Amino acid sequence: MLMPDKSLILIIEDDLQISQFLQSSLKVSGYLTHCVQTIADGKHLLNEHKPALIILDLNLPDGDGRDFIDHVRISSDIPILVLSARQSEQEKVDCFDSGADDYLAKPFGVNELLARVKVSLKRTAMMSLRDDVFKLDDLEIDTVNSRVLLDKQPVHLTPIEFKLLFILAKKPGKVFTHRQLLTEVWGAEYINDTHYLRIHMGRLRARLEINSAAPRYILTEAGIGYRLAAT
Amino acid sequence: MGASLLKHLFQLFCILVLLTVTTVINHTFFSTLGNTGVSMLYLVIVVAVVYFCTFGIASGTAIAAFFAINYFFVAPRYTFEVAHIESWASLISFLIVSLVISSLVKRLKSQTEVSVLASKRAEFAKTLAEKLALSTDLASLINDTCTLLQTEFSKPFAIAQLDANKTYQLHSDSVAAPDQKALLWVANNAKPIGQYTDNWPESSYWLMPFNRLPSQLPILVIGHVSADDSVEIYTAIKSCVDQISQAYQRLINNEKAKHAELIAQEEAIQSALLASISHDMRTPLTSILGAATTLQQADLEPAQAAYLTSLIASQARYLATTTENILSLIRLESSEVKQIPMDWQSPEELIGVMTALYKNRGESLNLKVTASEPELLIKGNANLLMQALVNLIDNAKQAQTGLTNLNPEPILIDVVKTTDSINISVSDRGKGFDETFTASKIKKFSSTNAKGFGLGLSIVQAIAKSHDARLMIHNREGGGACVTLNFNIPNTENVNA
Repeated sequence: MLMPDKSLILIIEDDLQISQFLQSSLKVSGYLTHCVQTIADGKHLLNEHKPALIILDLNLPDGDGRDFIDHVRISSDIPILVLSARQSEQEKVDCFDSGADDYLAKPFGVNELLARVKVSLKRTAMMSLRDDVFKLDDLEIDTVNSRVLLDKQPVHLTPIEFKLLFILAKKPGKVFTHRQLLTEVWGAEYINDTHYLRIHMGRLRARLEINSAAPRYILTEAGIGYRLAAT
Repeated sequence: MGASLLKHLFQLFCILVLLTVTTVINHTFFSTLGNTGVSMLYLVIVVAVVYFCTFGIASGTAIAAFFAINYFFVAPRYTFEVAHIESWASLISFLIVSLVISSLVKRLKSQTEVSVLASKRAEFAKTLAEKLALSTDLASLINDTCTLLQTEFSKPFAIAQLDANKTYQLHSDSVAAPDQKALLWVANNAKPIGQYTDNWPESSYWLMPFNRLPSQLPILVIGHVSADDSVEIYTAIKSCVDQISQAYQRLINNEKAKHAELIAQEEAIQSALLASISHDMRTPLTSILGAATTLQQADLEPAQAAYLTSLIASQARYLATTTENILSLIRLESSEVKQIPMDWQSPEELIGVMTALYKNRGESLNLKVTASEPELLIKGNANLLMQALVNLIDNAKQAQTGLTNLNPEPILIDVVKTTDSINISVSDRGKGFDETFTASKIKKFSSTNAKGFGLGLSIVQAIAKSHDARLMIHNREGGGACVTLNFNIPNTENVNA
C-alpha cells in the first residue's frame, strides 16, 4: 500500500485556466500539486500516488465527478473537496452522501479554497494521531469519556445532543448531511424529519455558542447539513 | 299510460255532465230559447271542450250535441226523426259550424301555445346571451350555462371535454358519462347524436358538438332524453349550443390573446434584462479590466497594487452576486418554481450562515439579531431564503453607506412569531423608501440605485412569492427602511419533537 504524500494535492479539473490558478495558489501556499483533466487520468494517478487531498470538478469530459468519488471511497478515505458551478442543493447533498468531504461552489475566492484545504488536511493529520479529544478555542470534546467542556466547565447535553456532537467531532470540518445525521442518530426511517434535527441542533448551539447568529463551533451548510468548525 | 287514461275518462265525465246540464237548461227554457238559442248553448259547450281537450273529443262532443238537439228539440221531439227539410239544414249547419269552430279554436290554441313558448325561449336566449357575455373564464361559462339549461329544459346537462389522455371527461356528474366512442364519433364527424337526428336516434342522450367542423372542442351532453321530448326542445337546445360555442371560442381567443400579451411582456422583460446587463455589467467589468491591465504594467506602488487587486475582487464579487440574482429570478419565474425543494428551516441558522458568508468575504457586518422565541421554524428553501436575506442585508448596507454618523446603528434582524405568522424583518437607518413606494411597485430592473440592477427587492419578492410569503415595506420611526418577510405559520403539531 502506498503511503500518503502529506503535501500532494490531486486536482481533477478540465478547465485549463482554473486548474492553473489552483495550482499556482496551492504552490504558493506550500503544497505539491498534480493536475489531470479526466476521471481516467485521475484513477490512473491514484494508483501511482497517494495524494493527501483530491480537488475534484464535477463536469469532466469523460463523466460525472461523483463517479470518481464512488471509485475513491471503495478503497480510501482521502479527503475530497468538490468544486462545481452547479448550484442545485440536491447535487451537493448527493456529493456529500457519496463521501465528499467539502464542496465549494464556483465562483470562489482563493482564501476560501485555501482555508478548506487546510481544514481537510488538518483533519487527516488529527485522525492519524488517533486523538479522541477535539479542542477548538474554548470547546473541548472528549468522545471516549463522553465529556464536553466549554471554557473548562462541563456542559450538560442530552443523549441526542451528545450523539449529534460526537458524529460531527469524528471528522471536524467535514460536512454531514441531514440524511446522514438523521440516519445515525434517529434511524433510517427518520430521514425526512429534518425538523427534529433543526430543533436539536438549535438547542445544541444554544448551549455551546455565545452568539447563535454568528456561531463559532457548529456551522450550518444551508440546505445541506452541518459541520464542526475545525480551525 | 294509466294517468293519461284517467285524464281522458275525467274529461269524458265532465263533457257528459256539461251536455246533460245544457240539455236540462235547454229543455226547461226551450220555449224562450228556441232552436237557435239551444244550438248556441251546445256550440258554447263544443268550443269549451275543444279548448281543453283534443280535437277528436271535441268532434265527438259536436256529434253528441247534434243528436241531442235532434232528439230533444227538433220536431217530432223525443225521436231521431226529422220532419222538415229546414230542420235538417239547421242540424247539418250546427254540425258543420261546430266542427269548423272546433278546428279554428284548436289551431288558434296551438298558435298561442307556440307563440308563448317562442316568447319564453326568446327570454331564455336573452338570459343565456347575457350570461355568456358576462363569463370571463371557461369554468364559469360551462357551469353557469349548464345550470341555466338544466332549469329551462328540466334535463341534466354536462359538457364533455378532452383531457390530456385524449379522453372525454364530463365537467359534472349530473349526467352519466356516455360511451367514449359515441363522443369521439361526434367530435370526428361534427354531427349530433340522438332523437331527431340521423345518428343513433334511439339513444337516451343528445350529444351536440360545439363546432360544425371535426374538432376537439367540447360536446354538450344532455341526458334523460325520451320519446316525450318534442322536436322543438331539440331545436331550442341546438340553437343554444351555437350560442355557447361562440362564447366558448371568444373566451379561448381571449385567453390566447392574454397568453400572447404575457409572452410580449416576458419579451419586454428579457429586453430590459439584456439592456440592464449590457449597461450595468459593463461598469464592474470595466473596473476589473482596467485594474488588471494596470497591474500588468510594472512600477506600481505596493499600496496602489493592493488597492487595484481589492477593486478586482470586490467588483468580481459584485458580478457574481448579480449573476446569481439574475439566474434565480429567471429560475423562479419559470416552471422550475414548482420543483423547488422545501424543508423546515431555522431563521436563526440561516442568519448564522449569512454572517459566516460576510465573514468569508471579509466584509464587516454590524448586525443585531433578536428573536421573539427560540426554535422557530419556517418551511422553505434554504438557499433561496439565504439569498433573500443577503439581498436585504446588502440593500441595508448600501442604504447606510456614506452616512456621516460615527457610531452607526447596527442593521436589525428581528424574527417575530405572531399568532398566525412568522415575520423576519431587516431594518436600517438609511434614507428609507420614497413615500409613494410600495411593495406592489417593485419592478424588475428598475432601481433608483445608480449601481444596482434594482434586482435586490425583486428577487426578494420573487422568493417570498415562491414561499407563499408576503413582502412588506415601511419606513421606520426616526428614519430608515424596514423590510419584512411574512411567512404563514407552519403546522407545528409534529415539529417540536
